[in-house]
Amino acid sequence: MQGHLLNLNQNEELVVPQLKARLYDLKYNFEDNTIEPPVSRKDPVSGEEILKEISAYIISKPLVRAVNAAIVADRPLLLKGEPGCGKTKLARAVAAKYHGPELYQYYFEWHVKSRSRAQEGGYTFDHLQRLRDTTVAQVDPEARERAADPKQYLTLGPMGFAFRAEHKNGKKPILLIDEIDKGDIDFPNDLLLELDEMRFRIHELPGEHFVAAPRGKRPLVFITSNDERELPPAFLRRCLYYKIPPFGPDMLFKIASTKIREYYEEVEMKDKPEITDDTLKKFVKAFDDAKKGAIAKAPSTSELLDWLKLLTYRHYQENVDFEKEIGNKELQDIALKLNT
Amino acid sequence: MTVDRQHMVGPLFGFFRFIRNKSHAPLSIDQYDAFVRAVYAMDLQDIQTAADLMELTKIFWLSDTRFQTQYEGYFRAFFQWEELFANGDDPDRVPPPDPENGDSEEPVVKPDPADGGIEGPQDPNGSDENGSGSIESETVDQSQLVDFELLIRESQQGLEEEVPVSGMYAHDFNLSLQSLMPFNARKVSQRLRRKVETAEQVPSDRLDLREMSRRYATDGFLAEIIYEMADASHSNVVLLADRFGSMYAHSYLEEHLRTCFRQIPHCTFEHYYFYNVPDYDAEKAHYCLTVPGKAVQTFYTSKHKWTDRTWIFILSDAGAHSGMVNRPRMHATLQFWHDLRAITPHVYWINPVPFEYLNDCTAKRLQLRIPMYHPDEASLNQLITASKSVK
Repeated sequence: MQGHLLNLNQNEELVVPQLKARLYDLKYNFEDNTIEPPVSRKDPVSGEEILKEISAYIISKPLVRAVNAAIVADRPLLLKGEPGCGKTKLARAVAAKYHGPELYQYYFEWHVKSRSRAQEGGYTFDHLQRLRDTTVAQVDPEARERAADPKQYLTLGPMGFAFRAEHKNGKKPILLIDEIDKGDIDFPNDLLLELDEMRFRIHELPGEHFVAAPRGKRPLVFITSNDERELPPAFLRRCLYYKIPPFGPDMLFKIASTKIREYYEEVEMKDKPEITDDTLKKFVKAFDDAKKGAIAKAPSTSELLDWLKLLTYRHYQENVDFEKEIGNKELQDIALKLNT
Repeated sequence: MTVDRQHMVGPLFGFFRFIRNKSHAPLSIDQYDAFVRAVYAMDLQDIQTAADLMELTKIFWLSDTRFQTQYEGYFRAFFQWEELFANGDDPDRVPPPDPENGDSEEPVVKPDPADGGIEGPQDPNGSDENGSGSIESETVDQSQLVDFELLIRESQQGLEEEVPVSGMYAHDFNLSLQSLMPFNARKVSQRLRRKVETAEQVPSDRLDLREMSRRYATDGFLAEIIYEMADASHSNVVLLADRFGSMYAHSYLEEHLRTCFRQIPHCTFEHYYFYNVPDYDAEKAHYCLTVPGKAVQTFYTSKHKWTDRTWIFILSDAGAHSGMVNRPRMHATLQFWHDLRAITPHVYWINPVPFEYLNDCTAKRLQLRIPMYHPDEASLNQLITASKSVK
């Protein structure tokens, strides 16, 4: 078990570096209950693989501990924290750490909407297509053939893929259930069995057809909530819980100095030197001051990065001095949304 | 080595039992089990202080951030108590699990004075992977586990500095407003939803594809498009909050009620406030209410779309803090009450001031004419139970 836990290696935080991940088209074979060999998505014009940039992420020590606790306890980790603190991106960062550029074979996202149903995470059944096929079955033999097989209309959802995905080298697949509090008041309760036993039934197939995680091979589940609605105790009981606290200046400096490397790649630096650590510290200090002085919503880490990106762009593209621009209140207000 | 099963103590089991009795949400034994499994499997070298340990336990046993300060207080209190009464020979320090009352469902072991080790929960079936089934062999396997109780003792040094008075744990009085809430918003919301929902079902905007498929299979054709049925909600919930004077101290209740009502599915929620009694415009025959969150926006009751299915909750102390009888206010309040009751029978008054503390005042007299409820769980439950569903 220890080998599959996140390892800090005596550091105070775990840095997941930026990487380019391949995207895949995944299909599930309902006949033999397996995911078919993944096909990487290619650009239709150039024929090259489509790569998605996954930005760097710094996982703090307490957060590493919480993730490891969830792995060991085999329970979902419920993450809360102010908007923009990195709840959603954590799951992808852990997937990137585990699975590298192939992460999208093992990482599945389920973004909950106000009208989401628990069943949709497991699968969807295209009733409309089947209805159409049965309507034209008399004249279309292909449609008749399809209509006779309900499996043709099934699409596995993110939760289903996470249950069935391979545990490569013993490393768990990862499922993100994002913003669970957006769903209906009963939505979390509808997930109790699925999260407890990691299985669900497909009602449209004859007999008792279940999609289930193999014994001892449960996925790692991250659930995020913006705390807009209380979650039921029965649901909370099944989860581990961690609230991502607002970061202090030291952590913010580490985040800023890691992320600015990504921004360097996006601008033409024109032989200009990199921003010094001292300047970055002044930047973080200015952010901290703005946060303390915020009347409405205090800016989050996400806003810090927006501001940093804006300043970096102005420094290299528009020849505005980074350090002086930190004091530009107008820009600060826009980036940190201090006027909202 | 033999193990006295009667007095076996698992890591932090004492604290778990303590917090289980205090916890706002039910803590089950499998949450303890999850913690123990994590203790066995994780690299816990970075757990150096009591604060670190507390953070670790919070991941497993604290599910609601509103109770964080309470939890931390309980953690300190428990180990303060342990420090005061620590006696390794006293088996009553942590009450042994009673096989009769079901506490024995998770057998635990206590630290063995002979080797200083601590043992975790045993397999309830009494078997192990080696198939030996003997308690001794399991104990040997687990001898390398971290003794958290001892870790706590060692880290008491740091903890003591935070405790200024013997026998008292360090209060920081950082109670969030929500920790004062006398009722559970979700529970009230759940109970209330059944009352405010109209009994009728209306077609939703979702196609009922399953039913359409079934009918097609049966009849061979589709005569019409079928929509899924959903709970209709012609009813809505309205919160009218008094924000004058002493009601300022109860503003958290207004927020809590708002949170509660907003959770009711399929229901429109309206929220307005006023000072003492809403201003009445006799000429236009309407009351003026203010919309929260908007700079100056007045809602005139003549423009309301409330029906007899609307539920109106008034949050006001009705002059309970004034200590005097204000006749004009009484008349105005009664008139307001009757005007609302003329629209809907579902008008309820929530008064945060305990009636038993009222002397003769406006609220005391109004209470004789207007049924008032406290914003506590039992009283709100009574309100919901006594009320009739919207038909």
